[in-house]
Amino acid sequence: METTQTTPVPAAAGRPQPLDSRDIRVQFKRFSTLAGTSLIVLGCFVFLNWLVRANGLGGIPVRLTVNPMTGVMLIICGLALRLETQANAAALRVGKVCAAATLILALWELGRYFGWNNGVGHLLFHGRSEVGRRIIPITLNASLGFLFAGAALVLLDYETAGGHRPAQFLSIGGLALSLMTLAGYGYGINTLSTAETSVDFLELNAALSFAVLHLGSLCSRPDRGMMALAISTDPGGSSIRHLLPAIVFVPTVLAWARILGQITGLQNEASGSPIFAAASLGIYAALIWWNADLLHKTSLEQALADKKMREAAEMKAEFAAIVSHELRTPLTSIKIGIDMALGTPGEPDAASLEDRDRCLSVAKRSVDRLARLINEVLDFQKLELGRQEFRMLPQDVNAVVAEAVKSLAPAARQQKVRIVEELTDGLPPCVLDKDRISQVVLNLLNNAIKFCPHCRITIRTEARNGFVRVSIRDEGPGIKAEDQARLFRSFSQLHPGGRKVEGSGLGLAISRQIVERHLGRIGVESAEGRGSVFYFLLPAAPKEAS
Amino acid sequence: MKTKILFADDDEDILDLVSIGLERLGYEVLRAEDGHQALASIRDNRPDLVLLDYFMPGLKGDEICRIIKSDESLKSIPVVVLSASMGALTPEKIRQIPCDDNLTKPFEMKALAAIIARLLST
Repeated sequence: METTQTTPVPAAAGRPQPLDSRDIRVQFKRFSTLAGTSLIVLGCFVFLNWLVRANGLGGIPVRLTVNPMTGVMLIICGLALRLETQANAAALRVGKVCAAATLILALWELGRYFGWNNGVGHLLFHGRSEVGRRIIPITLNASLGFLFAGAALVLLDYETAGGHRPAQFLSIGGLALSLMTLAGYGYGINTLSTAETSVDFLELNAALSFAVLHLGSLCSRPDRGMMALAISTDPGGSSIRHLLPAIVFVPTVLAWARILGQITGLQNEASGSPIFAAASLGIYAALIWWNADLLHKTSLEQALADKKMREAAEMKAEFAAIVSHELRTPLTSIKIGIDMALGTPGEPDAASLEDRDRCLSVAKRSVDRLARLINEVLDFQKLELGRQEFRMLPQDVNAVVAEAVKSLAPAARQQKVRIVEELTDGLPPCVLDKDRISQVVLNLLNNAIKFCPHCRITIRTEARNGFVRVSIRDEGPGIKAEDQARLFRSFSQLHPGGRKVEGSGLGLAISRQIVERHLGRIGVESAEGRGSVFYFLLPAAPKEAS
Repeated sequence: MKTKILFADDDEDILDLVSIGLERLGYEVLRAEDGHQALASIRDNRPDLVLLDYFMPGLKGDEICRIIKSDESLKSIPVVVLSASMGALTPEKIRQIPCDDNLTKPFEMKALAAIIARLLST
C-alpha cells in the first residue's frame, strides 16, 4: 500500500455580497411617498366625512362630528411629504410651502390651548358647525403632532455644521408622542387627550396616522444624518437596528405588564416599581451584552480582514521583488553574452569563433527565457485580476489531452521520457476553454518531463462523481508534504537536488487559476522518493449541454 | 601558476558566460552550482578570489561569506557577492554582508574585471 499525501488546493472562497444600501434607500423613499399618499387619502376621507355629517347628508343625525381642519391639515401635510420626496426642484418648493402652511395652522390650533384664539378651524368652519352638532376640537396631541411634522418638513433639508438634521429629531419627538398615545390606548388610559371617552377610537387612528407621518418624514432622507447611520452596513448601523426596536418595545410591554399586574391585583403600586426596574435592568443588560458580542465578533472579523489585506499587500510586494529578480537573471546573461561576443572595447575579446557562438547562443536562450517569463507574468496577472476571457465550449477532455501529449513528443524523446496514455473512453464532455486547459496539461506534463528525465510518465483520464479527473503520474523525486501546499503559489519553484531547473515558477500558479476559473480543483499527491501525481478535476457538463 | 577564481551561481548561463570571460582574462575558473559545492571547493582548492551569487540553493552568498570570514585559514581570500536586486535585499542588507565588494546584476564584464583586478592587486 502506497502512502501518499494529498494536498487539494481550496477553490477561491466566494466573497459575501455587501448589503445593497442603495436599494434600501430607494425602499425608504418609496415608503415616504406612500405615507404621503395615504395621508392625503385619509385627509380627504375625514373632510368628506365632516361634509356629509355636518350637512346632515348621511341621513343619520349625529351629535359629534370630526373636525374638518384635521382633514385639511392631513391633506396639506401629506402633500408636503409627497412633494418633498420628489427630485424635481419645483415640487420641492411647493412641498416646503405646504409644510410651512402645516406649521402655521398647527401653531394656530395650539393657540387655542393657550386661550389666544378659538383655533383656525373655528374661524374657517364656524358657520358650518352651527347645525347643532359639536365639532370635536383638534386634540392637543394632534396639534403637537402637526406642529412637529410641519416643522420637520420645513427643516427637512437643513443640516447643522455638525451634520445633524433637526428635522429628524422633530420626527422622533413626534413618533414618541404617537407612541405615548398608542400605548395609552393600549393600556386603556387617556394621557394627553381631552378626556372624552368617545374620542378614544379617533385618538388611536390619529396616533397611527401621525406615526406614519413621522416615519415617512424620517424615511424621506434615508442617506442623511441619523438615518444614514441607521441604514449603514457598519457595526454602528447594525447596533441601532438591533437595539432600537427593543428599546421601544421593552418599556412599552413592561409598563403594560405593570398596569395589568395592578389591575389584576397581582402587585400593588409599591411592589410594581422594583419589579419594573429589575425587569428593565435584566432585559437591557442582556440586550447590551448581545450587541457587544456582535460588535466584538465584527471587530474580530475586521481584524482578520485587515490581516489578510496586509498579507496580500506583502505578497504583492514579494511578487514584484521576485519578478524583478527573475527578469534580471536572464538580462545579465544577455548583456554579458552580447558584450563578449561583440568584443566591446575594454572587454575581454572573444578569442575564438567557438566562444563567440557559445556567448551568442546563451544570449539567445536568455532572450527566449525573458520573453517567456514576461508573457507568463502578464498572463498570471491577467488571470489573477480576472481579466482573462475564457471561450467556454463543451469539449472532449481526451482529445485535449491527446493533442497535448502529441505536441510534447519531441521534448519527451529528448529527455528520454516515455509518456503512457491511459484515457478512459466515453467520458462526459466538459465545458472548457480548450486552449487554457491544454495549457494546464502541457504545463503539468512539461514539469514531469523536466523533473523526471529518463522515466515513465502516465497520463490518465477518468470520470469521478460528476467530474472528469486528469492525472499525471511521474517517477520523479517526489515532493515533501510541507512543500506541497506552496507549490501552487507564484514563484515557489522548489530546488530539487539543489539545482534550479529552467522555468519561471509561475506555471503551477497559472494552472491553478485556470482550473479554478473552470470551477475545478487542482492538487498533488506525493511522497518523497515515491514520485508525484499532479491532477485536476473539471466539472462534467450537464446532460443538456452535451 | 594561474590565479584561481571560484565562481558560484545557480544559473547555468551566467556560470558559463562569466567563466568564459574570466578564462579569457587569463584566470583559472573553478565552478560551483550551489552554496554547498562552493564552500567545499573553497576549502579544497583555496582559490585566490571568490565570486558568489547571493541567491543560491543550499547556502546563500552571505552565509558563505560569514563562514569564510570567520575561518582563520580562509578569511584572507577576497570575496565578491553578485546579487539581482530584490525587495528583501536592500542596499542596507548588502552592506552588512562581510564581503570585500559587491555587484548588482545585470553587470558588465568590464566592471567585474576591474573589481577582480583591484582586489587581487592588494
